[in-house]
Amino acid sequence: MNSPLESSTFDIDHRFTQQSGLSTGPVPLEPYYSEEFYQAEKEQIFKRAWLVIGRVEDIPEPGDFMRRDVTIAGVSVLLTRTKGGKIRAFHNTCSHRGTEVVMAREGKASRFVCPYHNWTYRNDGSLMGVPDERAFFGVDKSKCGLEPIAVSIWEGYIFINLQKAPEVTLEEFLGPLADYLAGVPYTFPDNAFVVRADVGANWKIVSDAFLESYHIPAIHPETIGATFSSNENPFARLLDAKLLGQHAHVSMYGNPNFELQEKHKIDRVAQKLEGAGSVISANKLDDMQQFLAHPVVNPTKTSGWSMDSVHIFPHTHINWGPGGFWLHQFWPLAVDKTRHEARFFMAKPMTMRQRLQQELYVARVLEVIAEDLCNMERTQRGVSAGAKQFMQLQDNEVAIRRSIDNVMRWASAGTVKEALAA
Amino acid sequence: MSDANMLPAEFADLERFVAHWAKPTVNERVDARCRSTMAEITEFYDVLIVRASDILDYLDQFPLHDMPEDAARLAQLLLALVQASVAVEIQGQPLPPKTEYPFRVELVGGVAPYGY
Repeated sequence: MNSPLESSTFDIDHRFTQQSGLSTGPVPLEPYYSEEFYQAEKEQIFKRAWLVIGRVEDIPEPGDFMRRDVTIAGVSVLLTRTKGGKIRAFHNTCSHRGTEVVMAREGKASRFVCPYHNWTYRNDGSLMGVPDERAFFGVDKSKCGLEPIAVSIWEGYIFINLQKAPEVTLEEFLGPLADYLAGVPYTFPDNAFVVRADVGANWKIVSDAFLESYHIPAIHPETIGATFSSNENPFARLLDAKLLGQHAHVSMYGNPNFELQEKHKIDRVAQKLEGAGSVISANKLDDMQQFLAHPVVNPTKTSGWSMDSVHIFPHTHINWGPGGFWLHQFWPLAVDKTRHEARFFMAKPMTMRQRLQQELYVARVLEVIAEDLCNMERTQRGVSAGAKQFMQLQDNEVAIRRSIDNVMRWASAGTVKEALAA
Repeated sequence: MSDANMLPAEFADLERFVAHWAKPTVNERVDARCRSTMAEITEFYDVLIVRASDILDYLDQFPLHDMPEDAARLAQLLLALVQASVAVEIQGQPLPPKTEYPFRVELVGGVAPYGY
């Protein structure tokens, strides 16, 4: 049972940053607009860190595959589930003359045929057939499989690492987060709706926007402003912030007295009133009890809660609220361009009433992301103008401070172990 | 049954909204709202919101993924009401504040039927 907030919760101005050991000073903006810095991020972060690339439910059956592009690293990744049920990852590059083998974004196949000269691979990466093999000069087929990429699974998340021999294991990379976040019973992980936007902003500007709720009353006044702030917490201060190695967990306030007004007629028609506290909730609360009871979901166990955001450095956020979980990913395309992909996991509708509830949820998500996106592009233009060398961060933006501190350390660290020393 | 605007008989009076609002995907319904004036949105909203419960009761008699064509069109109108409600009930204007349209935010998967 969640308890009400104590009235003094938001009285302390600096609850999080000082005890985290991070600096409280201004933070450099160069990493948000410098082409040179972007190149360092490519080599030092995205080619060395473990990266979330999907969930195991994305390729549930033997023979399932998906192709994902890590644009910043210039790598097309082929993920397969083999006959034995193992998940493998490969460079999507033919051993013959280097052509990309798989064009489909996902599908089911026991073998892959390169479109150029029909070289054929099994889904465990091994080379199966070479047309007119006798014309070659003794090709050793056992050495000409698809080039493997390191892959590791944690709590249903598939991670890849683009280092040929990763310097650290996924467990070392996750550090204290691995145990802290263990055993979350993710709801409906096999069914997500996906929202995508190519945003004209640096990947960190996009990521940062989802790590704080300070902006919500200003950018989302009508959509979600009234659910994330109130008279007792007018500036949407955080309920909690935990820094776990280089990862972070922030818990956001939700106005416990929020009620749909008379004008919100469509919600009454769809009868989705049972989950008061946040409009970001389409699944019935009773399906959620087990999930919501986990110690890291709403960690302060207060009724005045809206959502949590867990930053898995560098480019993924796991989020959850009263209606389930969702993921944000920020794939850099250029120093000032990001592919933002958000996946919201929820039950498939079985009736038109449920379909209407889903439409309401989807519509509000699209609305909120549209509000964010235009703001991110304004931010990028402002930053790129070069007028300011530093930004100011307040206590409730501590997860942004953690993130940019990581970025700077990774960019200069000679080894991954050094980079991990947060 | 060749009339593309055909709705179930008891909802025939809503046919004037079909061409503009009964779109087969979420993205097109967002587009219909964002390219409409507030007057157009309000006119559609005011008529539909008082019929929404009846529409829902009518549609609930069919399997979600196997509706007759006229019912499917009605379902798309009801789903478009969600977009109209965003403008009328939430934003008070066709677009969200501090934004420019098109947003380039797109639904790319996972909603059915009449999803993306």
